[in-house]
Amino acid sequence: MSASAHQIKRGVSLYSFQEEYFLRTMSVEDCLRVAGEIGATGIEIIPEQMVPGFPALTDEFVEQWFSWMERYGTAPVATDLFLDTKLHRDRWLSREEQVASVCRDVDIAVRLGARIVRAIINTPPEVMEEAAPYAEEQGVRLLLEVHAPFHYEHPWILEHLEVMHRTGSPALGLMPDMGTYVERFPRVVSERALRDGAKPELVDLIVKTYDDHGDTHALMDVVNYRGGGPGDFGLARQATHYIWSEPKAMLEHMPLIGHIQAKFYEMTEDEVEYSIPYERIVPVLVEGGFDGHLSSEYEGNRHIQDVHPVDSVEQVRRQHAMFARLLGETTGEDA
Amino acid sequence: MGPLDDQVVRADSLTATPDGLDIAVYSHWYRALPLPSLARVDLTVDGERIEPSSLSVTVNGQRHPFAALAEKGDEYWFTTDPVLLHVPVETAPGREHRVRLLLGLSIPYILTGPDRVPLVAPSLTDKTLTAAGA
Repeated sequence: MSASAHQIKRGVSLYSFQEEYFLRTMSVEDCLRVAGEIGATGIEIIPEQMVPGFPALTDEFVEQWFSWMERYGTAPVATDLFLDTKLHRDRWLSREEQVASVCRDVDIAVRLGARIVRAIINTPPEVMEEAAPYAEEQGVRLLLEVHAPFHYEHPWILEHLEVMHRTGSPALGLMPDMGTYVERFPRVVSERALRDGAKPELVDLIVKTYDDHGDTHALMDVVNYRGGGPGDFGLARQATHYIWSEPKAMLEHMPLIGHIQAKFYEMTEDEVEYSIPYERIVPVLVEGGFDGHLSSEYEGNRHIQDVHPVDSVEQVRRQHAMFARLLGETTGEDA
Repeated sequence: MGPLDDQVVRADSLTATPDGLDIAVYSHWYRALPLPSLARVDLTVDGERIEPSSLSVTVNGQRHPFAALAEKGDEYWFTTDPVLLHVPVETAPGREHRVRLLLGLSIPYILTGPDRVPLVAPSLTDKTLTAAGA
């Protein structure tokens, strides 16, 4: 199938601009303007992060939100929910409270015009099942994020798949996070560890073990035997949080996949992601007939903020230049 | 703990009021957190340790004793809004104070270890700042 035959759209999670938002150098409106400028027209937002007054949205904010969408040529696509199971210090949220929390967040998505809600990985399958009828009634899909180190054969994901297939609910599905396709260890992470005092020989060992797709879980012991310090242990632990798996595994689940969190750590000047092979991921999505959004999720800021100012806008711009190339979009320059 | 810790207590965070020193504190977590997440406030002012039980905190315009935050699970501390710590120490406009604050935010959706305890995300501030007038 040629790249031009697909229905894949480009979007951005405003989480990508967390550094600038935190430092108050970009407002929500600035994020939307930038998204519109780079053609990332589908917007994903974390209400807890960027909607003042959460969970009580004001009419004023909602009105502004839609007027910004119109002004910058963008459209709301997804919100991300959290499940604060340890909200209270002395007890866990009951199942009823968890379902109520999900339903509250469905209402917030509807208010913001989004038809997709990211269900965080810790959402139990039975909570998804109980919340599904309400989501369906509201015209919203609850998509479980498939986040590293989880994958499609993991028991937790299998339990979720069982619910999705047994109920056949149109309101339930999957949201793969591309952090499950980290083929090489992100160098922004290993370089940060070196700056933080990790031992070069242990950093090399950790990176090489990861890059060879070796036994990362054994690294903690080796770091221990080699007298590693906190930086070495931190990096070894990090190596177990990334995973590489075969992107083609998504094909089997494609009918359930409604949205992609296009995680990335470093877009190089050549507009390539250093550790995640998007040039092999995007063709799988095209082959599977995915018709949702590739939603940028930049998460490299925390690894470089100690040495130079973070430029999330340039990072997201580069990722979208790559997407446009991989999706066969004709740019003005090529025309 | 990281470079963004620098934003937790800022140059203009201190205010002298008739009943003590107000310290405006910003969150270092990327999303709004329910008030019980404001779990740990280890504060010293000019070398003197301030008992959390002597603090009160203004969030979203409402003042609460520090201990009462544990019961306020339906209220959130928003990402870009400061909370005000009301500290019972004597001060006056123009006076300098050394503020050392270890702020521990309990993250209610990231549970760690076999006992599944919430991650506590710390930030550390050690600054000498001048109090403004109320």
